[in-house]
Amino acid sequence: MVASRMQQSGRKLMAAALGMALAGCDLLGGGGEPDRLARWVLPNAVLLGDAKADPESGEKIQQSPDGRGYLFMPSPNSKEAPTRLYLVPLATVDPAIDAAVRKAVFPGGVATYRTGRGIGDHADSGTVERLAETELEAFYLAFTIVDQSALCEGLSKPCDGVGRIMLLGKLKGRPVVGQDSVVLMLDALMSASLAVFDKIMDTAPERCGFDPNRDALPGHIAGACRTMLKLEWAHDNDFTLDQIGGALPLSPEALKVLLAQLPKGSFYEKGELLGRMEKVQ
Amino acid sequence: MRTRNRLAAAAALILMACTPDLQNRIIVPAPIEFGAVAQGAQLAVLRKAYVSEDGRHALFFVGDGAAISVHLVDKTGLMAIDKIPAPSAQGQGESAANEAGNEAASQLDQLYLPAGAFAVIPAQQGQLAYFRQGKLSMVTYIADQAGGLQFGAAVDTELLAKLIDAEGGSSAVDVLPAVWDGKGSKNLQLVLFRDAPAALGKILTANTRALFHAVVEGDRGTRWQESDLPAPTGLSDAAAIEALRQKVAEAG
Repeated sequence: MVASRMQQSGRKLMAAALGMALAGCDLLGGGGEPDRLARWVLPNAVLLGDAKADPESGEKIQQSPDGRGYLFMPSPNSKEAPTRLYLVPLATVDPAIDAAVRKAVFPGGVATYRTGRGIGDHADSGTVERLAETELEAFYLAFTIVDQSALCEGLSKPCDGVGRIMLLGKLKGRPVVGQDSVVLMLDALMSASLAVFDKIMDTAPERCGFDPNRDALPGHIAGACRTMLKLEWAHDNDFTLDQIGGALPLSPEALKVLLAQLPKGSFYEKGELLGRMEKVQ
Repeated sequence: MRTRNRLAAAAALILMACTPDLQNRIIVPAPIEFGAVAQGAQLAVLRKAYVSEDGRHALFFVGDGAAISVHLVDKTGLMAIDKIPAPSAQGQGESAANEAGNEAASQLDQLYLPAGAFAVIPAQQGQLAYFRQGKLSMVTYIADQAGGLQFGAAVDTELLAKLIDAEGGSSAVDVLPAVWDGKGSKNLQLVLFRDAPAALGKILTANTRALFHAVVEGDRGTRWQESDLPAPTGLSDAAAIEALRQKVAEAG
């Protein structure tokens, strides 16, 4: 097993070197293939619940061809690509982080959340509900992988990468996917994907020649400074940026760096969980 | 799982609206050399007044190719682009000044233009807006459309990386692999500028439409319609500004 893995990485290194030589220049800064995390996810993913079509949206859910995840076919007129979703138990990735998340979500053994809450919502709509920790089965990381979503071998050959990661809680007796599924979605990982940049943001005034946090400027100009620093941090730490400007890990090691940020963040605001129970119709 | 789509879509919407920290833009920590700024007839489209799609705002430009500025009109008159609040006060509508400044900032965010002056660079089927803040240079696109303009900043960073490499400018950038999540435009490379490649200005003006295709064809552009009302000749052209104010006030 070890020998074949070494052969594999040896082949990959050669292919990458060849790709870069052919490209005629050293384009890759970070140096690693962007599908390393996806390759790690597959053997660690577990299936939960049956896959069935969602009759309302026309979106079809099947088991992925590799049998380790779920394949979502978009609605017929949608411009979106088919995506695969894989679930990896947080406890198997990092038991200490899993314990810390449990404690943070269920202070005193109870989570308090508001129904009907959107992301970043501060509305008073919905009702406040409680969830006992005993009703939670486990936390999972949900990885979205799209075919040919990255470029490997010196940015020359299409490969499949992880485009998004979510943190969710599975409830006992309730499937995560398919009919009757209910999951506890947490915003904490999205927050962590922004919080990893905190240290480099301290250098913003010197690097940008203005202070994106203090100066009276249009948001897109403050955002330009932040984006430049995010790209720099990502480049130096084996990450890239996701579609909403958060840090996206490219390897299992980078994933651990992201997860280490989780316990440092807030899970609650004004006594209510930064997250929501999602019912799939 | 609609959950996934709702979550991702809502996240994208909220973060795009509140913090325009998008990764596919031209952000360079150095000045960029362009051949020439727009002059004379090249500025013709910017001598008109434009109205937003919902009819509630109008805009016009003041200045010349080397230093032009955009000005906005809403139902109360000239918008307060000079009163954009500091981030600590943003989003807080407590004082009227803050609220007016916030609204002006929000419009500028959609246009990807500064509150102050920018240079106009003639480009393919439109013009580039080139402006600096502190050490950073930014370039955004004002695309000519039939009967209007389309504003945006989203660049095909995969194509940009290839073009920079072809012009021998790779030492000035670091290219990061990107991973597409299946929605929106598919950039598989991100570009981090360490410096301005010598050929960057030429690359942007010679390949504008291909680079900024998401602004024109995708959902990354903000479209404004040409108005039949005359563009104010300057900020003291009270009559023309008032005419625009009345027009947008009609939209409610």
